Amino acid sequence: MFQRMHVEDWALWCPFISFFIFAVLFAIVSFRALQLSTGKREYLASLPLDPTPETPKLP
Amino acid sequence: MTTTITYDDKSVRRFMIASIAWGIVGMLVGVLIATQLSWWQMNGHYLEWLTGGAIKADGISFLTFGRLRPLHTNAVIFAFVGNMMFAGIYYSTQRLCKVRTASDLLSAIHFWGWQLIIVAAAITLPMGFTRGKEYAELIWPINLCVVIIWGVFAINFFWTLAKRNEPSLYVALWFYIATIITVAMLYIVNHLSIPTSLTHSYTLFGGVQDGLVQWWYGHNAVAFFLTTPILGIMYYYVPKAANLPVYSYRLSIIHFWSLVFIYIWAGPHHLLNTDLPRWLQLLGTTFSLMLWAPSWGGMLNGLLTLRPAWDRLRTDPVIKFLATGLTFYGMATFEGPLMAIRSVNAISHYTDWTISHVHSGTLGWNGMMAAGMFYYLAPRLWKTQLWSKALANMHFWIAMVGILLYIGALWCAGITQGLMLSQLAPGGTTLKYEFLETLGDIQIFFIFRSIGGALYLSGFVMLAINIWKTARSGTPYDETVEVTVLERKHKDRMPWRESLFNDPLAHIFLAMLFVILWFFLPHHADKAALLVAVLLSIKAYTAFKASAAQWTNWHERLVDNYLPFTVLTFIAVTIGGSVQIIPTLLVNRDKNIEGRLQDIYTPLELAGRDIFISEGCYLCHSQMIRTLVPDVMRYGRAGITDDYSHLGESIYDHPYQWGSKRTGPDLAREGGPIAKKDAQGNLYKYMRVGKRGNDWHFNHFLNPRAPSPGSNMPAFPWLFEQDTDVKALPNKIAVQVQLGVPWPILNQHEITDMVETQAQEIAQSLVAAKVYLPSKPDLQGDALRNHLAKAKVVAVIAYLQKLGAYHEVKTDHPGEPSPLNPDSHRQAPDVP
Repeated sequence: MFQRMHVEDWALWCPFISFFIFAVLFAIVSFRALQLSTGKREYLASLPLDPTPETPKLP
Repeated sequence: MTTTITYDDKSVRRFMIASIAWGIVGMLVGVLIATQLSWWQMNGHYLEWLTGGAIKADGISFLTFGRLRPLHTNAVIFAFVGNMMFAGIYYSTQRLCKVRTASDLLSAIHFWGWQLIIVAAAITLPMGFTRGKEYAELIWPINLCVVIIWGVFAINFFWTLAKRNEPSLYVALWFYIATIITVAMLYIVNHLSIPTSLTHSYTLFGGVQDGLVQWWYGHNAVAFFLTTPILGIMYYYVPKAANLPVYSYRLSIIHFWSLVFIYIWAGPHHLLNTDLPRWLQLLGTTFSLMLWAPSWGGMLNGLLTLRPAWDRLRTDPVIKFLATGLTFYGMATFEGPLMAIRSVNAISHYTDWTISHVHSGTLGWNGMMAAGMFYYLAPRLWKTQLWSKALANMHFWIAMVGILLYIGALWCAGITQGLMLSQLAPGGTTLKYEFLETLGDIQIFFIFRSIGGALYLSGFVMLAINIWKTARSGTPYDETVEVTVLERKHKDRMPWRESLFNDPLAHIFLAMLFVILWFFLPHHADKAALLVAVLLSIKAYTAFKASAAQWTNWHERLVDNYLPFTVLTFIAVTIGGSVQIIPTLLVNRDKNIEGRLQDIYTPLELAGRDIFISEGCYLCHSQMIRTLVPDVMRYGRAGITDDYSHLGESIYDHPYQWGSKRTGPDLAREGGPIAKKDAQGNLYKYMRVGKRGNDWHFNHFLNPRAPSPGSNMPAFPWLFEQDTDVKALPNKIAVQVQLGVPWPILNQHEITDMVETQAQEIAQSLVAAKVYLPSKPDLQGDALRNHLAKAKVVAVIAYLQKLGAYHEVKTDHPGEPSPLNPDSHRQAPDVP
């Protein structure tokens, strides 16, 4: 793993690098989504609905 | 402080009515062109048919498949789904932002401007004015109008967001934001052209680059015009119809960001098994497969939202349509990634399986969601009840039968034809079936497809009647609500630095960059890069711990700030296109042509090419022999094993002509060398002869069934009467030179002389072959020759006989050593 990789064509690495970038971004977005607080989550999910006394308020 | 606002529902009503009207037109054209594939007479020979031959009509030019198919696609995508999307967006955005649309004037300009564009398309496309690129056929003046009107829509939408009384942007609005900015980016780049006249232009890109740009646009027209706005509509109307919150808001965050990032990369899956570089094909396949996940995430989010209200599926037509639309979305987004696998694509590409996939998405996803939304909106927009639930239910079932018949028939057609075309005869050295044999065997499926489409259209007509009756029974109503005015300090306050340069994130990206460098750098330098990556990761972790609260609720604060959100979405969608397209623009030209360089067209051949494009021939005939044994065996030249279409053979084609469907055979090797004039071996100056003689093409255009029994190609009798536009050629050649096509320097007289010489050569060969022109039976000898020399048919014959002409280009210089590949100059030359 500590040897330099031999490549015939630098462009061949594009798919692997792209996938790697996406995987990191996906992990970050998923982490952020999981961090969304319950109060804000319930408030945002209820935005389209007609307001009722039970509708969550903005935290 | 509270205030009373009245929503602008007039615009919503307008867009909805326009969508329904254009939907009927677009689907009617679709049914017509479907029948043309089974019965060639439907290309305008109706009068002859209906009167039993009493009225003779050789076909009507503006009713051929090649002219009408672009009208169908533009009508259903931009007119039907476009207007539906605008109706849904204007209705939901106002209510999610708790504010009236920012400008009534801009709404009116948007509506009327969009309809005028559609009318212009409906006039110009059947007249043969086209750019020759799928879903991007409209001529350049109309393109400019589209950009202007889209800009009007964008200003109106973002202005409404700026004026909103609700601080947080609901997920539906994210999808609308992504739609608006990405469609603008895609449309502008793919429509970059240089005009040659008011009705004609050449694309900026050519050959493989044009193919990549076209399908970066084409696939993402599906993504960001047919999917993301409808997903936004789904996220609003499904919870509204069920009166239930979305199943998982967290899932919607992951769904949105994954979808908008991945979708852009999927374009190359339209070019699989061609000579496109393998890394690009791998990119398209990998990201298409990954796209399955966010697509199903969205589908499940929508369907599971309905779970507590599942019993209403039986009684409520709105829920019925929305749930079915989501199901078809899931089906189409499962099928698509599978078709993006090279081995599956080897069978499916160029066949009707692709058409089936497209229509499961458009009829199933777009059509059903449109119907559900319209049935939801109509009673509210006219303050009444839906006129007939029974009619809505009947619409649903007829549409279902129609879709299933349609897509099932074309699955069978596509797979049957794909397998037949690949099958070898006993002995294994020749192919078993001729192309026309496969066409004959799938005709029954084409008929079922037409029936399915007609059923779907009749269901949609029921919707139109139902909505019209509902409107008649009520009065137009603009909803009035009382809202709390939101002060500016409670929204759009996130600093740009915080939204774009989040410390832990910046460190993570830098660390990623050094990990990538670790793979490429020489000894010792690679270890240093790895060390830096590890240190940056530690720094990212400590920065995260130091600002944990601020970092973790970053997304919560981001959705209260529409401009930073828009910029981040734009960054997400530009990355994919940049990675795919920029390398092919920068890569060594030798690598782009692979040893073969296209011969430049003569002026007459260029004119013929433009007629070929104008008549829509590229919609049925491809010009791309794929890197597959059956393709090379069927369309390549005998004795040349690597006779697939190399990239250099089409490098000067503006626009590229690889095609995406084979209703007729591939034409990449249709042409041939300069013809011999006499027994001494003297050559003609320009005239070529390829697989078939000039007289064969002459008779084929006059009546395709004469040389090819069983063909469904329309006749083109007007090509024998209309003259080639020679006057336009100097301007066209000048533009081609601007685009980098290495034309020799020619003045107007030289161009005219070349055209005249070549046209006379071809016309003389036709006269010598004793061709007969039914519309002018008295023309013989020199009179016939002179008439034909001016006619468009000779120009198209000239073009067809040039197809496949290239010369070999040897590259014998070794690669220069580069920082990324220091050993490159020691490697052996590429072997095809």
